[in-house]
Amino acid sequence: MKTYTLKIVTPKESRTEENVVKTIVKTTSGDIGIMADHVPYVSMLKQGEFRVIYSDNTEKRMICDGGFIKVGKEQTVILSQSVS
Amino acid sequence: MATANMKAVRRRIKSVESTKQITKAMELVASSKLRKAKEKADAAQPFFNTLYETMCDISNDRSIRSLFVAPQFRKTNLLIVIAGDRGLAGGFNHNVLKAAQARCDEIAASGNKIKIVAIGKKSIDYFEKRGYDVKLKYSGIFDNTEQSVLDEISGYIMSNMKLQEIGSVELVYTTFVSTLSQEPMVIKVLPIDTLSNDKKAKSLTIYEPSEEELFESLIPQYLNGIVYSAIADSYASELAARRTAMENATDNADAMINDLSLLYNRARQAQITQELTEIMSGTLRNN
Repeated sequence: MKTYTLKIVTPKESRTEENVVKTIVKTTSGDIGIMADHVPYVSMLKQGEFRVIYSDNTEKRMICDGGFIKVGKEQTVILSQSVS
Repeated sequence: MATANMKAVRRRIKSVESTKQITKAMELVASSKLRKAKEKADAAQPFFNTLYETMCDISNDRSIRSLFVAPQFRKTNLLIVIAGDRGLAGGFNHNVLKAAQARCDEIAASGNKIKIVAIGKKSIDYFEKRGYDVKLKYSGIFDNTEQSVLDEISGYIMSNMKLQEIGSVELVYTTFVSTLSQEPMVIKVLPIDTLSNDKKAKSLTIYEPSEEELFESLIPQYLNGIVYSAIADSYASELAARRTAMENATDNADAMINDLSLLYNRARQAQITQELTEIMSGTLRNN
């Protein structure tokens, strides 16, 4: 499975998640799953949970406080006021 | 006379020594806090950069019309002024308030009205004393900047921009250049006229729900981000300024103690010499 790097940026810290296969986020127009080589895409996020699935089939659940997701050619970024 | 002088000098040495202890302690506190504040200021940077980049991207890709981008003709400027809560930081507060005052005079000269958002006790005191229209004021938020404070500021700006109550927003704060130098800055926050507008480089990015809605939703975040990083930057500068000021004060105290000790030893020596002379002359006469 092709993997990519997800960057999570908040005012307090920024961190990167390696070996991500899929990220499932709640956008204002519905849930969406992002895999590697997605088309460039920017969307607002709803407050709530998002899930990151890694290549070893583990899953991490996180909560974000709004913000947006930006899928670019080089990297994918989730930007929010706070992520926990 | 020599005894009285010696006593006075000794008392002065003592008082300078206790002042030195205080300045030394403040220097140490400031430098340990500075490290933390610096980390915080650095951590805020990527957030703001990403946000700004995305906003540039959107305005690059589509021609968007937004009230936050177009120049405004309303005759009221909002100034956000960030100074410190406390003094004893050398010229820190004075410099940033001088820059703010200069900007205020400029705005007033062009016939526009001024509203102030004051952050930091010194800033509040300064503008309230001079009878400016202080709309929002915050103090004691540097150690731990609450999300709610930022939301309140950006909420205020958003609603007043939409109601056409204010035409532009500027930010006056001190930026951290190095531990030895901090510079007061005036930057324009809104309307954003610095977004790059490179019509050639269009990407095929999909925006949801729509470019304009997305852009507008980024504005409060942009405001939050810019105010947050300015607060963090200003706090780091304040601590650096205080550290330098206290370091100088400690050095001065050291120099003073040196001078005073010299004076004290001289006086002591003079007294001993005098006593010796008295004894000698007494014995000489007896013989």
